[in-house]
Amino acid sequence: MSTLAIARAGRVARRQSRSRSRQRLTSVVMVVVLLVFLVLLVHPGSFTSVSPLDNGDDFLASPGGAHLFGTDQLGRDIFSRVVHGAQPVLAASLGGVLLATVAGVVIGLVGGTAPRVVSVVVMRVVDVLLALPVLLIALILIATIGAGVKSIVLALGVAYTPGFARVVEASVRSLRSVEYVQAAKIFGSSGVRTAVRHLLPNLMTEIVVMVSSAVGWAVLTATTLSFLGLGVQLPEPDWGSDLAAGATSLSTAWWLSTFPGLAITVTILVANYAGDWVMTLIDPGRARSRTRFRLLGGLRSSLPPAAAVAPGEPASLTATSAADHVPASSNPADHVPADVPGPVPMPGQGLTSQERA
Amino acid sequence: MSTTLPVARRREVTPGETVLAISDLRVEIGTPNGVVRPVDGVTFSVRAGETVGIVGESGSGKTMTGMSVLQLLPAGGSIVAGSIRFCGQELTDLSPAALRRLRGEDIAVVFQDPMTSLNPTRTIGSQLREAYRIHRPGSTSAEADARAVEVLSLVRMPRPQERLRDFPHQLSGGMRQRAMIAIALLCEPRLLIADEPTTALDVSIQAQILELLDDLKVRLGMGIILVTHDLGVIAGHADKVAVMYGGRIVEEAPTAELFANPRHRYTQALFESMPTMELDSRRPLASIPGVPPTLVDLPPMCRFAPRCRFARDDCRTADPAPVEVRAGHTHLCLHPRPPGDDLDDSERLAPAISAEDLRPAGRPGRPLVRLDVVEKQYRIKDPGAFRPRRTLHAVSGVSLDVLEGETLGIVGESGSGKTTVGRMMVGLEAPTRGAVRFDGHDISRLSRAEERGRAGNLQLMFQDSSAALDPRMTVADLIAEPLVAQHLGSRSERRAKAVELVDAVGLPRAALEKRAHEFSGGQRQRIAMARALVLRPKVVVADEPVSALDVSIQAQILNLMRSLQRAYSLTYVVISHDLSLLRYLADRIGVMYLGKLVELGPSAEVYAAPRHPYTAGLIASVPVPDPAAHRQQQAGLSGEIASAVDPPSGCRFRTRCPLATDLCAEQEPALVARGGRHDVACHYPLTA
Repeated sequence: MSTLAIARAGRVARRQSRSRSRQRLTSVVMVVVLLVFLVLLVHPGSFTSVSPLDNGDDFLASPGGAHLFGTDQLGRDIFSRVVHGAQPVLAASLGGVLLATVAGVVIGLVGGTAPRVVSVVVMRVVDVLLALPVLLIALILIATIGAGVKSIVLALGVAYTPGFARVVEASVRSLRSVEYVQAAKIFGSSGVRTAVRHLLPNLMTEIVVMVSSAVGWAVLTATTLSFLGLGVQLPEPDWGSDLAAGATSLSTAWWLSTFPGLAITVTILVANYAGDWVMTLIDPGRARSRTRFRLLGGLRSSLPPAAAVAPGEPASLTATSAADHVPASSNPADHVPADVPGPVPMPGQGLTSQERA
Repeated sequence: MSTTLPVARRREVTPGETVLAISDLRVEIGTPNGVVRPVDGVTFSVRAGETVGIVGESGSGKTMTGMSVLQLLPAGGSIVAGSIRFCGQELTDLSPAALRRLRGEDIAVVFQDPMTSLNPTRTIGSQLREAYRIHRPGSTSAEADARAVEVLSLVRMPRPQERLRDFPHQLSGGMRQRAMIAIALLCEPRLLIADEPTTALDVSIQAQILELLDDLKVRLGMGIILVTHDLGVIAGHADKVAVMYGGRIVEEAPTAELFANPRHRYTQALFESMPTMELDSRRPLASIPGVPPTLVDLPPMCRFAPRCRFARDDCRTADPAPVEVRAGHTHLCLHPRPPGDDLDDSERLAPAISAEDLRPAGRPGRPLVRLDVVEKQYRIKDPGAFRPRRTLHAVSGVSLDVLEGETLGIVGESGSGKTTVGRMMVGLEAPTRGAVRFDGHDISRLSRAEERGRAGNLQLMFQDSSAALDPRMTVADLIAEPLVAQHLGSRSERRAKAVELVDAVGLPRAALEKRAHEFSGGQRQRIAMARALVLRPKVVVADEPVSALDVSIQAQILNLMRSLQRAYSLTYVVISHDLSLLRYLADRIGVMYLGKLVELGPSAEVYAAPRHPYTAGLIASVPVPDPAAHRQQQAGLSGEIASAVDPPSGCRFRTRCPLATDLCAEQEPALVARGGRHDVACHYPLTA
């Protein structure tokens, strides 16, 4: 390959090799943290033996001593409430994002591959839904089916689906004109087959990006909804409702709201970091097809071994540059991953300051 | 020449004076895999009024040599040894500020791809003005505009005043390159470094741009460094040639001397592997086995030794020292080609397959694919609200037959519609009018179920192999995919087929588990071919199969295509802009211009005696790798290709045709057979 490509790949590899040990450390830390959250979601009782509902004798105790995070007005241990309060939040946000992903990908695929009439109708419906704020959708749904985790899941799912669908549809449209998708058509591949075999795997990067940025927003939205009383009802522990309950006594008993708030912040940060990290694992462009799932295996050098690097091309295509023909990159090992879209416009971002916690 | 330059600002350059002298230049780029040395001891000089051509394949370091003059090196790269003297001034120890003053003012660069080298969000005029005002601080906008117009007319841009307001995407490729050259010439540099300036352009425009550069060189007394991989371009436009391989100049000589008497084995191998127009199409091409070296941590040895069939032990152990054959001709070979050896027969790499006829057995038979007055129109969505919708006439009324067992070549420049014809044959596009028939059945508009059947008969090899292979699939999956799509065979059978084809295209079996991006361009093209053959099609349409590959790799792929044609009894339709390639590969050639088929006949006849003026102009524009031929070459094509949205009335070529008359504007000529199998669409066809 051309020297410029080697230099570019070298620059990338330099960056990567410097952080190779750092990346191994990151992988270990990430896995541990994600495991903690998994346990929190599934079995919060492992972290604390005190029940969050027990009314104790020690009202409004400061943090420290027997109660790590203090107690509330009814003597309940805040630490225990924070630990148990993770469950509804995580369940709601993850469930909502999962629902939105499945629905968004399906709708996006349909919108990108269906005949023009169908796709126009579908995408315009999606656009209309995109215009509705999450809160409105949540209120409507909850008014219909009642408050609780399930309604938040549904609300998040419906609210995020349009954004996902738009991103997926745009990517599908650009993928359809790539040669290997057209080649599938020449082989006699049906539309569905092409979608599953070619489009979906190559959408993975976009989907992971979408999901990773959405989980953070979903956590925020879920806690907002429960802050407003639309989620889990008291006395069940929940970060959002606990935050609301302690909001009035911030000056006197600051620990009532602060610790749930901190928990929310940490969770969103972890969600974002986890998204970045998963994204780096899944990129096909680097020469690490065998290290893809070896999470702790570290990186191989990103320059392929000399035997496999067999440059064979001049720096650009020759004279077929019509106005519609884009000279392609000729560097095999320097393959840039599929276009990563910018931040997805999440419906939750439209909340005004009044509605935010 | 320029009235806006301050008088006596710098001394005039006398013709013949050495403008640039590079001595033992070494450039290093640090990578985690080792130190890359793209320029490893390069020495040459450029005089005013002289064009020095640097020839090499990718990975030879030719671009880095050009860029290192101005220290436009990639990050991590630096000049570690040697000197670069420009008009007596040493450049390697200049401060960044002094270098900036030098760039554009005294030394200018023309890059390869004007579309990415020009800012798409600014007009040409604004970019010209910016370049001018950097070096002439204090000049007004009006002065800059005046100079811009002056320099645009110097590069023969039509209607320069209007061009100032145009954006790059509104210009054609040739005009963009002229704009780039204009930007380079704004301050009348003494040295111009042209890095593959015409590779991305059509053949006829290429000839115009190269001729322009020659003319400007004489008028402005510049020295030019012309970096290219095309020996034909070198033959016609370079005074002196340096052949680079593995970061070193392996041979340097005046052009005529190099072509008449190449000494280094690499130069000899390059000449042998080019499908020039005189090549005997029955012979396989002499390809250079292997691939160019990566320039990382190479031990002392002749860099070409691993691929050289004349290499001996001493070639692999020590760096060869320069040998001077005569004044101006040096090379780096320990066992050079003896002088006077006939380049054609005795040394040619034509071992066991020397005189074997590579054409499939039997003469071409019945028509297999028939295009019946096929038309393809695209509707352009016009941003203007009240303007009527316009159509792009990509293909207009093309009728041709593809005979069984033959190789049909379709040649044309960009915008000719040749790719669209290929796509209509395999069913990626449905013709707006007319029909495509295979074996008598109409295959142009098929239902989904019927399309399956067509896949077994017609396949396509795409131009861009990196985009044609799914980056997430292994090679085994890629090759077996057509079988999966057609629900043919069990898993083990498909695997066996994949193995069989990987062997047939010359790839190692270990390749089956790798992914496409781990291979080079030539290897990817082999994978694409294996994939195209797995359904045993009768017809393979190859869209520019080798245009993105180096010359030595091209020869490998072409030989492979030939042998596969024999083994699998294939019929090829090869679409290309490269005439010399089709001359070698095709039995019959069709020439397309702006959506019309203008000539169709046996390839030998079409080249030896073209009937249509466009074909004649195309042949004249192709740079022939023979310096002597350029003296007698006729004029190439003038002007630009017309718009396909609004094609000229009557004969579409009449706007560029030297023989056009009123009849040509009124009446469109039909493709008529004149004298047997050679058809031409012209009112005044050229006679032999």
